[in-house]
Amino acid sequence: MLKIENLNFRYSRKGKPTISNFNLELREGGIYGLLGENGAGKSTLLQLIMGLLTPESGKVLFDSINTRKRLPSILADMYIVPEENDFPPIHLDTFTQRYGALYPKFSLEDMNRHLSTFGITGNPRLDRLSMGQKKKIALSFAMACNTTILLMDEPTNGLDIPAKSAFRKYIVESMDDKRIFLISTHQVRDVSNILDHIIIMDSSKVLLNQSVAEIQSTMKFTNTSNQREIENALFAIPSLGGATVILQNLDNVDTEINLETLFSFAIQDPEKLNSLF
Amino acid sequence: MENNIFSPRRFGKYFQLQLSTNWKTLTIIIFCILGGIILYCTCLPYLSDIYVLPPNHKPRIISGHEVDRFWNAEIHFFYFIFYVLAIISASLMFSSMKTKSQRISTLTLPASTLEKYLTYFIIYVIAIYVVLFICMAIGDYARVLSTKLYPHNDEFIKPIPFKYIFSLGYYYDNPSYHMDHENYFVGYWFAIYFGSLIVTQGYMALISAIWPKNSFIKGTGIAMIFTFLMIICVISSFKLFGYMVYRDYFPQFTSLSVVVWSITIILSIVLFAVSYFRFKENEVIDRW
Repeated sequence: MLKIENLNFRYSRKGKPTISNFNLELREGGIYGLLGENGAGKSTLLQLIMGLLTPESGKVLFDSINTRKRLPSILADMYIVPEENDFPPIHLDTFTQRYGALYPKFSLEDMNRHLSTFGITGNPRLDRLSMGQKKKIALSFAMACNTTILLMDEPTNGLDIPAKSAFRKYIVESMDDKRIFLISTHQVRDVSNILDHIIIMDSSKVLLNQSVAEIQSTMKFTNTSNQREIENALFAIPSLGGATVILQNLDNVDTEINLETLFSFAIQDPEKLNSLF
Repeated sequence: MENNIFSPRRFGKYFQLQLSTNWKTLTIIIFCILGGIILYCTCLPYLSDIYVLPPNHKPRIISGHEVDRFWNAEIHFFYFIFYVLAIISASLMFSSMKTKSQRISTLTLPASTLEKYLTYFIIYVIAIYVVLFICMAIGDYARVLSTKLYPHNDEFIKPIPFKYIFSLGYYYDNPSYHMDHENYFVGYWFAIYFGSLIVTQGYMALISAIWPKNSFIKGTGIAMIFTFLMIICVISSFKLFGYMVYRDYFPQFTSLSVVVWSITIILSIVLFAVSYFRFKENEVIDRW
């Protein structure tokens, strides 16, 4: 389990806090989507989880060990795919062999399979690849490490359409009841079908932390031009021909979650949203 | 379960990783150094007429031994280039932390801080000694071989013996650091040279841990300012208290080498230790 307790962080002593009294628990077997406005602290949170930043107070615990210590045993079971990926001037084979050797659960077979699906062939020199190709290799390697915790910061940025589909497929196939995937993204449409838990945050608190099943059983998402429905909706955003609305799910019919609408609801009226659960 | 502080297996893998990612750059640098040293050793004796015999030529004798006329020039060049390159190399110790993505990669790789630090220490602080000595030996042999191409008359041309290298240009059968008017310089200057070198390397390693980018320039700038301030303080104290006030506190030459070695070893250990703890606390952002 990954536990974040009373986390406080700011980049400079005089600046405003980026993360303030933040608490969160992530359990094994979940694909968590982390959503938030620009500057909400999503990337900062991922870096704090990975032990790359020192919090002012509070801690991040992975199996009761503080991740800021950056112990090798913990690092071997956590991996972060950052938004930008730079590689050393070496070939793919060398990279796979040398870096993979440091991760006990690394699988060369998985790596080759992911690379094949992403369309990466041969033994290219990594520093000469395009951004999208680097992202594909980074994702392939991350998934092949088979770490318990996999953090991804904007993983679908730079991926072409077939690669996004391949990414979704591998996330779902790689998930088991021992792993935690945390995906921070603005590209909600790329990941909406694979998430089973949604976290919407701002810098000071979690605005929403619910499973997809719970959200679907509580709310209905639909487009309507019916004025009465729009007026009675929990939340509505004007759209072409009417409005995109969130209604209370009184008849227990599961609808596909509209993450963009849900996000707007969480940002504008978080108390009302949380009162529904 | 492996030790979280140090595991030889994990250290070996991390060391291999660093060598394999940087081997091309390191190899190019080594060959550039070697090329420069060979060029100097083979060309300069003839460009400076060192082996051209004047009339009534007499062999060069030191402490009863005939010596090659170029040995001193080689030694002085070698020690100068050795000092500069060793400091530059130490300033590159944490060059793998220059960009944000490099910092993420370095800090998240599953190896302990000690293993990572030792890897960089061996590659950037220790290995330069071995590399430069080997390059110097090759350059010296290249000089001896190249002399066969040029005309010279019975000049004593031989590779430098190890004794000569470590006596800083003084050749004697029993290198000791007793105080006589010919030999007392050696122990003292040797201590000053290598003592200041390891301290400066420790200082550059610390600067590199704090500022991985442009460490050499920043470190040199700070050192120059510090040296300037020290000179001001010393000159001011001379003017205030007079030069002779230090005479009573200045140790005898016999113990000066020991004092210098002791201070410099302790200082360098402190500097390297501080750089280790600074590296340990490093984050993905550069707060300074």
